[in-house]
Amino acid sequence: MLLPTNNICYSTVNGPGYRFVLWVQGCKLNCSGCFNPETHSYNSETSKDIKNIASEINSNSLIEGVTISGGEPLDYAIELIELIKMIKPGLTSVIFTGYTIKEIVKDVNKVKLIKSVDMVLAGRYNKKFEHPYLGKKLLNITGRVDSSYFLPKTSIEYSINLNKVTKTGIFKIQ
Amino acid sequence: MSHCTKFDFKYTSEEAIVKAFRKLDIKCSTELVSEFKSEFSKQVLGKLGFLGNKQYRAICGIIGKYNIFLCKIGENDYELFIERSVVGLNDNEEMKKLSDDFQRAYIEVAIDEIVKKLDKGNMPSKVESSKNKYTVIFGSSYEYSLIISFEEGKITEEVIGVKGDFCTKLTEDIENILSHPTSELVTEWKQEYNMQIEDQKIQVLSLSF
Repeated sequence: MLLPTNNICYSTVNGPGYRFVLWVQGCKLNCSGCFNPETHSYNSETSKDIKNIASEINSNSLIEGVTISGGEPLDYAIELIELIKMIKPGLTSVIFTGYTIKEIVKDVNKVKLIKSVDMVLAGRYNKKFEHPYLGKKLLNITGRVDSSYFLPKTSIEYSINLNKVTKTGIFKIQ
Repeated sequence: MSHCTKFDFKYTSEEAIVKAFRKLDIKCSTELVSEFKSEFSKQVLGKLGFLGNKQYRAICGIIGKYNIFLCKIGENDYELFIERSVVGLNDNEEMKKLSDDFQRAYIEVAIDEIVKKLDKGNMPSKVESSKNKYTVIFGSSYEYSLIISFEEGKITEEVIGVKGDFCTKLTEDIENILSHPTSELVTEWKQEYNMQIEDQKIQVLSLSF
């Protein structure tokens, strides 16, 4: 099963601890002012087999968990449910989505996906807010992830993976 | 289960501003208004064509000797200005009262939206009011209440007795009308409610201050 991906890196600013971070490619929401606009278009050329993604995650003994961002992860609910099933049970999983709770509960696959992870930060990105987490809801699904990590703050990180540099985190309080 | 939110009061909705004018029986119109630094600048230079230091699109009304302006200072952000046409001894008290009356009328418009929403859902409701507080009591046996209190430019809303995310749906409109996104100040994630999805109970947290 293939999953369009924009980027993969290891990071300490996208959830608690050292994490495998996956940005999916493609987002139906296309929020104005979003700071990842390059992830909005649907481009299947960048797809990766979820078995390979899972294998990379499971082979890394240093990570505490997986964070899935985008793009819009919930637009790939079926693929991500399968991916979550394949990863080691000790790893925590976090999803950043632009969908609201109201929208999520209307879709059986989106519900299935959020039930399979530990924490979901849900709600539209609103450029008017001083911080991207404002106006969102934090869904604590399992209680395994500490919500205090998600307090608004500014943190930037550069990570290098296969000669590619990724700048990630919240760059500035607007 | 209850939900309590505090936020800074803002005039955000043009439609609600117009309805507030109507509640006070004041005719209103939309005009381009200018801000002048002094009476001289307004009375003398204004007549010579000077447009003032700043111009605003404003919803304007007249009550007695006072002009009321709700000037658009940003997207979904209006500021109330009251101007007197003739100087009087009790101007400050009267202007303060007028400002409070207008704010109250505006908050009542937001309350009306809540009542409309409850009516749509065939939920009986009644509104009780005191000086700085409105209480919407609703439910088939009037078992729930939504309290909106306002003081010193702060609004507190509290929903009592409502289970699930209905309380946040109920207060969405009121927050949209009475607050502005950038006026929120954040310190922690607080439990807002528990949501049952199929067989799983999920804790929903929101940033609060």
